[in-house]
Amino acid sequence: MGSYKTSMRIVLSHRVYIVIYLVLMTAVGLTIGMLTQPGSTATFKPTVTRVAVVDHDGSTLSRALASRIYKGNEKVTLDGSKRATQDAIAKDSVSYLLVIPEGWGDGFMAAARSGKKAPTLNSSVSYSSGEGRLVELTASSYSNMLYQMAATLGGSQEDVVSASDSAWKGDVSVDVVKSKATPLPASLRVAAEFSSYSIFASVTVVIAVLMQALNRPEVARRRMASSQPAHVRSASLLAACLTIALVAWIFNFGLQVLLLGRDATTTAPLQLAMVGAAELSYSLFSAAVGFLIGQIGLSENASNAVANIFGMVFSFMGGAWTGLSLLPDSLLAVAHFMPSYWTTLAIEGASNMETVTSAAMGSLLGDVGICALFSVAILLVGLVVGRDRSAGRSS
Amino acid sequence: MNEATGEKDKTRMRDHAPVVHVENLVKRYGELVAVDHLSFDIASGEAFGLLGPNGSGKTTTINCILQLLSYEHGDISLFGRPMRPTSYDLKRQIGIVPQEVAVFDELTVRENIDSFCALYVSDRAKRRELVDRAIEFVGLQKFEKFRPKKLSGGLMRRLNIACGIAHEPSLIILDEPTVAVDPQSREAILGGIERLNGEGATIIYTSHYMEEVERLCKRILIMDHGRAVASGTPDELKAMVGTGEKVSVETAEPSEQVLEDLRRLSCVRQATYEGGRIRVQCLNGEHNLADILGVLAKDNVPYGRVLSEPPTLNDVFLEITGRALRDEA
Repeated sequence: MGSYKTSMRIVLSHRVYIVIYLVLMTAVGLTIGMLTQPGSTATFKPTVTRVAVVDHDGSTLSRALASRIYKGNEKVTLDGSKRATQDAIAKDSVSYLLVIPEGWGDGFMAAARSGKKAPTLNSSVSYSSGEGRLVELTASSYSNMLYQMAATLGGSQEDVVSASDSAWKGDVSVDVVKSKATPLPASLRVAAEFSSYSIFASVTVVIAVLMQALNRPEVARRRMASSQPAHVRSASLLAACLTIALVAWIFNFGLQVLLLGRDATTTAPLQLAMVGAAELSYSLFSAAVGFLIGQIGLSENASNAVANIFGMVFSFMGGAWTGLSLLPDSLLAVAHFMPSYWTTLAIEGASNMETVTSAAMGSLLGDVGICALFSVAILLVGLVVGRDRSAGRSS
Repeated sequence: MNEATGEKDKTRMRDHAPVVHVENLVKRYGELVAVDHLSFDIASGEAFGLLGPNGSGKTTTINCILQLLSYEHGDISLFGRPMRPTSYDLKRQIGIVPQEVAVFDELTVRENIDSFCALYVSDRAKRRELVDRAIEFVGLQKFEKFRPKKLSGGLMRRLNIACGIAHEPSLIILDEPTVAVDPQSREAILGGIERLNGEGATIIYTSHYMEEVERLCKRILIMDHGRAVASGTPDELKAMVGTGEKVSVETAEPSEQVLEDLRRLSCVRQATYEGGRIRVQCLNGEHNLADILGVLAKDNVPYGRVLSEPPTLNDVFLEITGRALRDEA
């Protein structure tokens, strides 16, 4: 059994990490992706408020005001007694209650004509929500308009109401604007962004545990004393690390494509490939971190702790948990130093790229390249640490 | 001399060269001299014992031979050729059984032996044969599919040996291979080493168990403070030191005068009474027993059984390296 196969056997003997970090975490990411609602299915549902108007006046003006308040809201009928209105307020059975006193219409018209203050209305707003306050705003605006019309146009109450209704622009019409469909489904994007956690945790822990087994002092001594050249041992280890990274990548990306982006293989193959490249780059970065942890010689428990803590930090800073646009500027500035940020940029860029241009692809490849540079930097640190350790061992 | 003849001479010289040649080896750890101008040769097929108290430099010497440690000064040649860190063809002929069990906990017995054998032998079919032979050699057939953690201490040690010898090396370095094993496993291990030596393998054996070294090794080097303090065959070493036989005489408690008379003998180093016996430590020489019994007869001391034990390697070791405790600050 050669060194490479030995490494693979060691990895397989730690299958609990593969199950927890790779299988379960990837499943979590896929589930979150599947639960993501596509933007086009969203509908607008206006708020309906329970309102009541007790009209003791019965004038044209008061009926017009009541009608305006009832529009679009749920009408609650009260018998008009003082007890009923008090009950409605106390039990919070209506969000807005307006009591129009007798003679309010005539008094209103007279005040408008003479430029005096309009007679007040008695209203109550529910303490439990803001909906009543919005209705009160509508009532207040409409009565102001009535006053303006009565003051300027004069005429009968019917004329004033008619003019006011014509001028009323208070009703807001809402249309749901369908967002343009992105080339890659949102579910795939979400799962791809979350995979930064499962890839990082699984790859780093498995590689760290493998290297811990290979670097046990007596085992390492026996291997170093053997006739197998050092470069062959290193190449075997490198191949094992790459295999682990590739398996994690294939498992994550493969399932994402299979379950969430099968259509995209024909409709947006280049965008999909870019997402794959971003995830691959991040897998290689994770392998480099695992290699560094192994070279430092962290214990199995410490490796797990590092993988989880940094996995969460990286995925959070990469916008897997909260979109990058929602991160505060200070965190966003720090996120630039995390490879996951660049991976997410590439994933989001590819997901939203309607027209594939070489310039846009080049820009995203740049993001992937930055993540790859992190891998190279960490790998070099790992090599230096390893060289120092082996120099210390042989001196 | 033409070129062909010169090459033949070189080959002949190599054939007769010692398997291990260490000359003036010096290894320092900062101010501490771990190996101090050490020189020795080991002939082909020889079982060579490397003895010394803890910290005497045995393992450091082995690590230098294996090129696992760099050293300040000295020459090391194996099979007549200088040993370098990249002398992979020489390393192929070496088997190492380290002090600690050096196996993968994650692999089975067979996989472990196969994995370490693969560091020397790439041919899979050949390796399968070698692994089978190694498993049979150490008697682990029933445990092939066991992981090391399921094995007893003795079986672990046997696995450790199998991993070191599976590629059938001609030089085997065993660094305290019988530490913490039961007598049955120890016997099996020692028997195996004797068989390997009998089949022509050169053995370097380090141990604190003197009887093992005495049984296995034809020649012994005793190290202390990084230096070679004595070397030779077990008999030569025993003759080298002043310690002679130990005489034990069963008797009733004698007077102090009797013990004094015994101590006055020129051949006696020490005389004590304990456990119903007079115990006399003699110096090297002849007629010690007769002289001792003469004193007892003169002092009218009746005695029962008389036991005379020749000096052991342990006596030699303690006399050469001293009785002061080691591993102390």
